Amino acid sequence: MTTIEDRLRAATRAAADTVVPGSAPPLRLPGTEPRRGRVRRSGAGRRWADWAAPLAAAAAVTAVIAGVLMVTRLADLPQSRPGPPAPGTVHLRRAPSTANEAIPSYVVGLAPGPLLAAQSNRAVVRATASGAVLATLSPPRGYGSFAWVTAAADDRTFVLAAYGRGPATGSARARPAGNTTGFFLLRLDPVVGTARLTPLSVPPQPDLPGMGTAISGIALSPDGGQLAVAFGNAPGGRSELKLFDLRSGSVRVWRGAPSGGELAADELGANPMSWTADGRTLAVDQWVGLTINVHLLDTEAAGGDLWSGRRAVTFAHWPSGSVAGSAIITSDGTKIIAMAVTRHATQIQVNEFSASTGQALGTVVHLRYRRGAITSWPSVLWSDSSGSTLIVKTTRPGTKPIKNADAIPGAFGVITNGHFTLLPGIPAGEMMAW
Amino acid sequence: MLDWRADAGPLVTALYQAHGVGLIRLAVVMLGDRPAAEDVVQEAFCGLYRRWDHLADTGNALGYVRSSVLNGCRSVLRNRSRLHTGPGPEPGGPDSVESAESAALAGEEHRAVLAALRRLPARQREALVLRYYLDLPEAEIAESMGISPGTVKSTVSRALAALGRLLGENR
Repeated sequence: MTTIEDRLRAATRAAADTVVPGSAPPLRLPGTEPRRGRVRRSGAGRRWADWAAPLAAAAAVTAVIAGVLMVTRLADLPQSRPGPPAPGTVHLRRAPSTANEAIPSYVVGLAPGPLLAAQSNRAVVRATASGAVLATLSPPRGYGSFAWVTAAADDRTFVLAAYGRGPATGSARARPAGNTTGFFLLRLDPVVGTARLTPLSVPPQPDLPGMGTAISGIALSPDGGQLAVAFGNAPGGRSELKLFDLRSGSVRVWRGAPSGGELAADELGANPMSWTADGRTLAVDQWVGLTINVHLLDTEAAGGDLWSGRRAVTFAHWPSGSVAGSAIITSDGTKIIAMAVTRHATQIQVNEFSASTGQALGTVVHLRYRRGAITSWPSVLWSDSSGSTLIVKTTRPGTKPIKNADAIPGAFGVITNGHFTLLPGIPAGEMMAW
Repeated sequence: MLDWRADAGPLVTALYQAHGVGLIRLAVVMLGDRPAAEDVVQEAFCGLYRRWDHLADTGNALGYVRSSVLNGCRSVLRNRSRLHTGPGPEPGGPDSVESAESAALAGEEHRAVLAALRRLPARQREALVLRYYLDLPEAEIAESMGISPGTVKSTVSRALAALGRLLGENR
């Protein structure tokens, strides 16, 4: 039987074989000949030609910027465009009055990086209701990008993970040998009108040798006192969770068995962890093949086996279940809420489960789509105490089926009383934290 | 004093001669469009040339330019997606270049798989192409995409499931 992997290999190679050896056009390096604009090529339809130029121009600009960042990333060079020194303070504009007091006023987003989506070169503070940009922050000195963002429950406190070599330290101004992920507290003070980024006492987490970062998510506790850092593939091939006490600086570690699955969200960039309001329980997603288990971790324990916590809910993928997005525990600790794409991909559902028994409590929202319209994976990103108001990322209802085009990033919206309302100014495709 | 541009030109050109076709092929798989693929590869090599003097490890130049090609493809796809949501030509429309490429392919089977592949989110598509077209190991895919090897694994797994769903297979 031909597997889908075989079909994929055959199809991609057939597409690649349309480019025959020796058919590459001559390379035109800048400054080596007069540049007269883009080379016209045969075979392109007029419609393509009409919009190819601006696209290619955009790609060109992106590639140049990307080059700068990629050299930094791969070749471990000092930062060519250092951001403001940490601690850094920028002006925070006043947020327009929100129309929905049931949701947080502020959101911090990381725009996809010019080279790698997971490496953002700016963090943007926005008003949730309008999307108005209130402040923009660059990565701290020594770091080339932001990689993760997470929020406390007070609507003012966030933690940003920055990625890069880190700052020079010591009299010899020695730099770390490789890239690391450093952690920074972002504090919004709307009264004074400042957004201030300061380094946390959490030690920077180094890359795996030759393999990049192993971090698969971060989650700040509701009171802002603890930071959970998930490592999807720590040394030894095992998942790991580190829980840093931001007041004392102590750390506790939970480790999974090497074959125990991966601590990661169902979707790239989504958060595999969520807290209850009392800070005593952390819900963590365990990936095992095409199954996701949500475990409830006792955060007052000394550490230990990552997967020994009670398994609250299991989500199975096709064919026995739905394709599920990442799950979240409500802050009162009673429910686990997850979004799912149904079998024929014509509905996205928001489903509730009992956190104590795992029993399905029901589907609170059905978003309906024409077949072929759902191309981004839904996730619950924020919940109020009981789960009656949610902020989600999902394919925008009313999206038309698309053919042979890139997937449209999920849009952000609020679900309350069974209805989805788009958050108009929050850009799709960014990593967001409320 | 060493003129790095004089030094870099022949090296970058040699790299292009050795790997240009392979990278255009990679971009064609990603984009389904030869002219756009050539543009992306051209710009990636120009970026390499401009930054040559900053490369600490020129031995990894191929890895650098491959990542630049992936990024360029992502940029084209992002813009194509934006165009698709508004008025104007649909990238997959009947008189688009997709048809020209499709005509050159072996048949309906390949077209169906490629059409499904191109409906995946860009990063899932990248992971599948790097894994099953280039046969890269997880560590190299992770390096190219800037994610952890574990995330590569879950992304590939998830992308295969999504591809199966789009192709009507139960996985």
